[in-house]
Amino acid sequence: MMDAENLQQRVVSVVAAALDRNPSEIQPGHSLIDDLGAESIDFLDIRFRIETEFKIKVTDEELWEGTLYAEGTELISEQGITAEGMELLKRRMNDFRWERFPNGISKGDLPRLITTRTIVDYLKRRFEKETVAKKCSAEEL
Amino acid sequence: MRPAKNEMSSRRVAVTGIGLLTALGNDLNSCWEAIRQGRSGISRTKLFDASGFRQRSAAEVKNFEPRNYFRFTKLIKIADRKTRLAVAAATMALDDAGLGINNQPLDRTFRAESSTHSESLGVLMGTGASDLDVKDMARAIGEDPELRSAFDVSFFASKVLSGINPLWLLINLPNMVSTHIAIQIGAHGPNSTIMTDWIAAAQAVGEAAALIEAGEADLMLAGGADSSVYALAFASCQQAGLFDGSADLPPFTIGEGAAVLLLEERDRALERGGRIYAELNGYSCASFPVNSPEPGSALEAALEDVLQQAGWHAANLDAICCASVFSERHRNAERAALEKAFHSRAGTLPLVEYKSAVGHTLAASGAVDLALLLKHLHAIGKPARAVCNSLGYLGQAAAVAVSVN
Amino acid sequence: MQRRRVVITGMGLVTPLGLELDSFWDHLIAGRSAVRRIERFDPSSYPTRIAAEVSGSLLEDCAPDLRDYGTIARFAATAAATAIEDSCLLSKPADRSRIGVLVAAGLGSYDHEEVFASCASAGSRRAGEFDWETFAKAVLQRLKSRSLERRSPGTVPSLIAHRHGFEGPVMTVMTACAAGAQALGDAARWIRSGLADVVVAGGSDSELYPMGLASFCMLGALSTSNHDPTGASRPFDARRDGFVIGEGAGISILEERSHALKRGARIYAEVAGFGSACDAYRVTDPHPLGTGAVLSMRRALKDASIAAGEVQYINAHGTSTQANDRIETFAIKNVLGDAAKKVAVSSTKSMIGHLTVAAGAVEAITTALTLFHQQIHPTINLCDPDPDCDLDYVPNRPRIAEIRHALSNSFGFGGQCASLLLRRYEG
Repeated sequence: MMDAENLQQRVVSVVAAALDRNPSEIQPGHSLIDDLGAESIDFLDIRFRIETEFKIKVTDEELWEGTLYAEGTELISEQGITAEGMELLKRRMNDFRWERFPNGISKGDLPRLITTRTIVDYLKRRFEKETVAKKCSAEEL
Repeated sequence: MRPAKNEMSSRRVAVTGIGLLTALGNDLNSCWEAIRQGRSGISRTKLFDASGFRQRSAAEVKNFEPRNYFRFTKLIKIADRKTRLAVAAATMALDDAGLGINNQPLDRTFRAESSTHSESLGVLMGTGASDLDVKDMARAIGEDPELRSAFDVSFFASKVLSGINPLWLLINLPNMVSTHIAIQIGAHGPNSTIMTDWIAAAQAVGEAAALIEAGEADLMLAGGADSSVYALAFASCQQAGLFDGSADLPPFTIGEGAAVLLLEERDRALERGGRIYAELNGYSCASFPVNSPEPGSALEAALEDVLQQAGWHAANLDAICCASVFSERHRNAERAALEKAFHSRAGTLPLVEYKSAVGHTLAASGAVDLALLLKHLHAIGKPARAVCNSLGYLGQAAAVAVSVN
Repeated sequence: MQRRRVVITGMGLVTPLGLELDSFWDHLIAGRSAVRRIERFDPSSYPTRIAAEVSGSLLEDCAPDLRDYGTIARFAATAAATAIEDSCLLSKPADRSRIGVLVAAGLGSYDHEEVFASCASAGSRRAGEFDWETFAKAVLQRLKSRSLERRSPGTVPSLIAHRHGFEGPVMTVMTACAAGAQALGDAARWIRSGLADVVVAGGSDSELYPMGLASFCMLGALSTSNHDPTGASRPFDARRDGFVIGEGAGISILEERSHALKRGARIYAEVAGFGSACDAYRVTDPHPLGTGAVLSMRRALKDASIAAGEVQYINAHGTSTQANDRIETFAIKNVLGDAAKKVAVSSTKSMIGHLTVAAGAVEAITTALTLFHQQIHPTINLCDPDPDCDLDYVPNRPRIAEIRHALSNSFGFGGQCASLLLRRYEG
């Protein structure tokens, strides 16, 4: 299990390399699309680089949808993010520039919510689960 | 036969900028200086280890830093070597013409309501096949002593799908040579990529000129980029016997490089006070099997057609740039064509060639030759006329007529 | 000086719906999908296991003497031979120096075994270390004959020229998925400028080989509706989830009008205009305003000297990806204005999938047939409309209509856009 700060740093350096940015420019609240200029192929590239860096396999769905489905809350309706969802997100992502969405967030806008924190959160959950699983099998022995 | 050019169209085509990278240097002037000094850019390959091949040398571009040329540096990660060279040459051609990104007189904005395209800048490049990044493939396949990946598709796919760069296709798509230029400089004009073997770049220049004459564009970045210093290309050339060599000729040497000309409608160039390197006076192409009894016929037809278009007499040329230096078959075909088209012995013609110094830059060669030929014409120091030949592996031929004042 | 006019006098096809022009058209009118599980190789480890294939037995019949040159060359040569015969061009003596060949090609021209067995050899030799010398040895051992010609897409038009003795210009264009249309546009310009009187023009492609399919899968561009092959390609439908790969070739005989009239040729349609443009935006994302698409359509209209309201039909690029279909719709509305409400739009890809480099060439033939028969093939699988795609896409049923002018759109990765404007031939 790696410590949170180290994880954050490694993710930032992966994203910085993929988007040709200086790691120091990248803030946890930066939208990969709106602040860091990511286009659709960059998401494929970042996933591939994360897989290589952390020696894991991960699907696009698992990696990118973490922000919204993390707590099992259904935050999305046909129209986009629900009022309840917005509240939760704003609490969790207090450094995100929410003023970009004066008219709410439609389904098509969802990728714009992705930040380096999306990736860090996913990896944390994944590694925690793996640690628990390891512990359990150790106890069984 | 076609009518002469001035009867067809009132729009004339000028060359107002040149960008060039070859084994001799990373800009036009250093390449030309090296040619004048008789230097060669050929040396043992550094881009990959060619020990396993009969030919182990190539003419490689040296000390090339793509960051110096890309405006959106993020895209370097998906640009292969020939695309990087292409972007560099195109950027230099625009700068050379005083129309570079920082000089800003070009209209690069897209107006949804605009209905004219007179301000448009297009891109037309000749290029060759890509290297497929075999090293990365091998890494993804991993341990495979029984070579299952060659016959077990399910095994192969499971390795490749999870192991190689997911952007592999975009890196290896040859049309990216033209589109990356357009993206870097914001060119919304006509855009295409030509892949007719070794005549691709000559065609790109000729076809781009035709677009300007037809009024479909005012400015075209046209030329070629190729980098075939990689194992699959060497293997194919060796198998085709190109590395066998012949007693009288230098060994077939692959070069890499990019040459881009900025072509501009002549009146527009004059109006803005742009420097005019040269005028394009004719372009033609034809095809004839290179193994046929008359292997030079295609080039002969193309040469006759360009002279006709330019309204020139064969005897009045100051230079003829030869396409074939290494391959005996192609050289003989070219000599036969020259003798017939110009009604004189090849030895009496003002022949020049550059491949023995910059290697055969394959799909880029037509434009690399043309860029150096223009420097040669300028060095003559008086108004001069020339034709530049291109000859493809299978006997495809193209000729471009140029003049300087 | 009056501009030389260009007409289509012959057409030849290799498609997942067969090699015959008439039955191909009948299938399109009947709304038949050619998509099914891939048979050419075992697709079981791919996320996408469906495609629109040219069946194995038809492939066998395609220019078997050109086996060394690969599938793309064989498709192209077969379609060219059919088109030449269809045009009766060579039934009387012709000046072969005035006949050119211009083909869109440029992908997929290597042999799986020679490349990947060599990769595996070189990679496996020392653990983790790639060895170039081993690779060289392995590849030289495995190279099948004519690898230089096979690797070069420049070979394809020369092969066709040599087979039929044509001595005019030859050229290969490669603008990814816009290339088929680009080839026809360039060929028309050759004829207008006098470089040739006749051009054998079109495109050929097959991405249905192990690495080809993998490369599109990795980009996430393909539909994964493996459970419902015939419903997988659903352009403009709300539930579209990517394109379906097809393969084949389309070759047309473009001819200077008076040349065609002199020999009494049948004329399918006139190539009245062409436009090329570039998004100059991103590598795969289309420009949000459809810049390239708008400009290519406008340039085609201008080239043909017609107004936007005079277009009755558009054969859309219509790939069945979320972004393309939305942006193409937006671009059509921008170019046609109010006339967009009346224009009929359909996507051939709903039935034969995306023929990549050959798509524009086959769809130009479809468009010519539309003008010739005055009938529009449907866009199939359009059941659940997308609010962002609100044009008349001729859903699921064919239609008889009076059509004088038709556009055919083709757009490629990298942002290259090409639009052809065809006109019903009226003398």
